[in-house]
Amino acid sequence: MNTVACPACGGPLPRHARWLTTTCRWCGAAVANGGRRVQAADHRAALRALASRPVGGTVVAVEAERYLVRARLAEGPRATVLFAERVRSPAALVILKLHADEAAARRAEAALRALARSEAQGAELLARRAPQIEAVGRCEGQLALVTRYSSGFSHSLDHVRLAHPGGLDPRHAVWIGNRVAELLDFAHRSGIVHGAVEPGHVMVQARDHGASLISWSQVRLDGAPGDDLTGLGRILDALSPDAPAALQALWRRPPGAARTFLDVQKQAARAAFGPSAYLHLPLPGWGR
Amino acid sequence: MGYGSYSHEAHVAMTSARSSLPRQEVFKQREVHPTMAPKGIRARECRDSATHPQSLAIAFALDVTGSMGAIPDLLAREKLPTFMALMEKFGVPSPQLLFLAVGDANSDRGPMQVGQFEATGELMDQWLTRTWLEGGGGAFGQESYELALYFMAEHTAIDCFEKRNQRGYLFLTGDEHPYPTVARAHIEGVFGDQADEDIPTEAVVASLLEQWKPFFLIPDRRRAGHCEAVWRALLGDHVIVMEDPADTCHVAAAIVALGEGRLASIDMLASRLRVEGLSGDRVGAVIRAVTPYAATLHKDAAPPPSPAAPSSAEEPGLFKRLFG
Repeated sequence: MNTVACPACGGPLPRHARWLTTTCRWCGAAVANGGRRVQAADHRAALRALASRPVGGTVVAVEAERYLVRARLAEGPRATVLFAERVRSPAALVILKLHADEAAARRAEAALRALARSEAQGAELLARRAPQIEAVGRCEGQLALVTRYSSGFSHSLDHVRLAHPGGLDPRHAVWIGNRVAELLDFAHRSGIVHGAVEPGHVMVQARDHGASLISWSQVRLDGAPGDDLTGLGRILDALSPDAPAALQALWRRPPGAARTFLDVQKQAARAAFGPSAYLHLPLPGWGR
Repeated sequence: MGYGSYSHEAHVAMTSARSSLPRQEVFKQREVHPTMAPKGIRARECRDSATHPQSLAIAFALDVTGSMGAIPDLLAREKLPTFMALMEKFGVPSPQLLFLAVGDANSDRGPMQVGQFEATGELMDQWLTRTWLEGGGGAFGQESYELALYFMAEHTAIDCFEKRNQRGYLFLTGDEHPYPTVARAHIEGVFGDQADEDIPTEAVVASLLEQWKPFFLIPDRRRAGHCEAVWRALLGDHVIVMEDPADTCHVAAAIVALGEGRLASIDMLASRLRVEGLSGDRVGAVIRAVTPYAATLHKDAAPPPSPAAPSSAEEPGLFKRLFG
């Protein structure tokens, strides 16, 4: 938006017309600069124009911020999940989760904020693997958690199961297990038990072998870390039913500490498969 | 400004000749150089010329407080020719560079320094090394980045936008918060302009966006913990968290190339950086840094998030295997 107008034709002039003699692109008039006065209202008008710019498609508002919905990811009695883009420039891609249960939303918010400010060792890297809150506010009568979108974390382990109905190569189960156990270890050291480690709550990034946990609303501050590992072990065992015996033993009777789980799994994987090597995980939408 | 031709060899020779000099020998200013004082500047102009008919304005507003002074130092000793070489390799024609230095208007003697848009290595280097690395900074976790935003919004004139509707690129480096408003007193004291009142920083950003694409580069993840959220509220996915300040030039070059459509995706970026001899770990770090921005352009080479699949728990057979 240009707030300086040509005195000859009224056409918009670039902002620097305040300081420089400028040729109007509309009528060709040479407009001499008029001084060094700056109006705050001009800048505020630019902000209003930016925030209210028309966009095509479905727009939802969380408090004063508007988001353009790119995709509806899930709808159910407990929550609606949207992939969206902030309307105000510059863009920010986010995941919007609208909770029907406000208490659940508050639990998830508390857990994610605690992880974000955790000073446990490795926090600068590991806190980024959990959803990062951008905003919390009212949206369509529900409490919405706005978290940053992480590119490529496009599939849950439910999608992986559908794409590989015959089971996964156990080496994939190992890297997925490693990444999730690292995050759980960090969460547990930060005093947080996820409480719902299920296939639909583990998101994977196939290209870089990343994995993250979503749905932190069942978090327990007084829970037993072993419960999370029991969930993880069951997932991995079901994902890769033909894994070597040492891995099966770990997954079916996991230890109570994520760090131990990680160490034992790495040792068993090295014994079974040798040094770790990159292995492509085919999933819909990813090229080779 | 912005006349003359760029010679990569001459630029490399200039920077490598000083690679072992102490910082105070490279940056000799002990006060703001008179030609970089911002007061009274009407506009810094990036204009097309016979040798650069398609100029592209690129500005680096470098935080020169405390440890952030490492980035201008890296640029002056080694990295700036790399940036220019990448621009050429990526097919970005006629970049013209402007350097600004950012300090703190409440406590520093030189809170803002401004060079000129330049197209030759010698002149870019002149403005960069003419910068005073004052090294002070604000006491409360804030620096006067908003002054750089204000200057770029109010006092620049760029042909790429005026003639081709092509916005320029502004890269701010930093590790602190901006002040929430551009203070009227600073507008007058630093620039000599008369403002009727303080201006919210977010409103200045909105004005800036008319002609510029602003990015805030945070040098590493540790420092991101302090300032990232505040900057994301202002600049969204234009906040770039690097893993090492040494990646600054590769990251900035990647952003320009992606933004200008010179690279189709981050996959292509990765292969081009490898061809240029960048090590695998640095390629990975650059890719991770620019991926959120690339995703806004649909250039992250990744599928969008998939609608939720049926839960395993809804299938009795698998449920039994999982939890039976």
